[in-house]
Amino acid sequence: MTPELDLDGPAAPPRSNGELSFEHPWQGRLFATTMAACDADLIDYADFRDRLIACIAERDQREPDADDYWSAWQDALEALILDIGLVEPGEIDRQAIEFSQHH
Amino acid sequence: MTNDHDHDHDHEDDPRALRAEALEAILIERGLVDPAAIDSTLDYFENDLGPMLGAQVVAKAWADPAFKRRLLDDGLGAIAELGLGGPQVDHLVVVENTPDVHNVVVCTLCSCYPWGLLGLPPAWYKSLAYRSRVVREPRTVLAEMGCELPDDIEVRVWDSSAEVRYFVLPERPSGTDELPEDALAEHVHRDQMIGVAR
Repeated sequence: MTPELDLDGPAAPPRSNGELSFEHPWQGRLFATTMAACDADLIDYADFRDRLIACIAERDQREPDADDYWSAWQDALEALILDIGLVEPGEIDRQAIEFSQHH
Repeated sequence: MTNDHDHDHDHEDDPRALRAEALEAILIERGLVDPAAIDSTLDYFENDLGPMLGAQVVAKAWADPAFKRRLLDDGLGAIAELGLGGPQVDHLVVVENTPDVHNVVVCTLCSCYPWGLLGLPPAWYKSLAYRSRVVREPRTVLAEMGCELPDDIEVRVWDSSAEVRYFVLPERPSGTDELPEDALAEHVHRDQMIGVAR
């Protein structure tokens, strides 16, 4: 990306044409992990979308003003991955705790 | 982004970030996903996909009537001619704005969006307010977003379903008859292709 790029017009790169794609880096990593899992045929996108719809509906009801779309995405992905047996129950929690202790 | 373990430690106290990192690490450790595939996917979505691709499609449709017909008949087939497509889309339906009709796109259930043409959706597209209200009161929502429509223009709201993504072909602006395609693309903006701008 160079300063010569048109940063405001329609030919601008996606990150500046409109708004940032992701508010936090983890959201981008999560999104890309989901897409990579689809591409690797670990999960089916339609199945994932069904989960996402359910998680968003649940959030809409619980917190109509919540701006945590990517949390719903994460809940959907974790539930699907768990259901199809790619991770064991509690495994993500354990790994997350381990990372928190190393950071 | 790098493949090592230090890619985004901006979130040491954010449990969501730690969980995302944990899931990614588990899948990589098991050899289920390739870390390079995650990096390249992220790079592709952040840097290669965006509304400039949709703008190219619109400009070509404005400049080339035969392409426009193909685009309206078979969206995916037509954009494939330009080397465009995008993941997780089985059908792309292109809806045309006319002097009498304005089209607007929503995904009422989640956030389906023509990634391959517009990149990732803006935050408001994913909000409950937009998803629920644009169906019930499209004129009001559009007006609030700066798109006031005369009463004699019919508004059509298109709700993305599991496999179908919608894309709005805006009207060609007046005074652009002499412009070449690449210059026409400069006149196309993301919000027009979603339908929240005219």
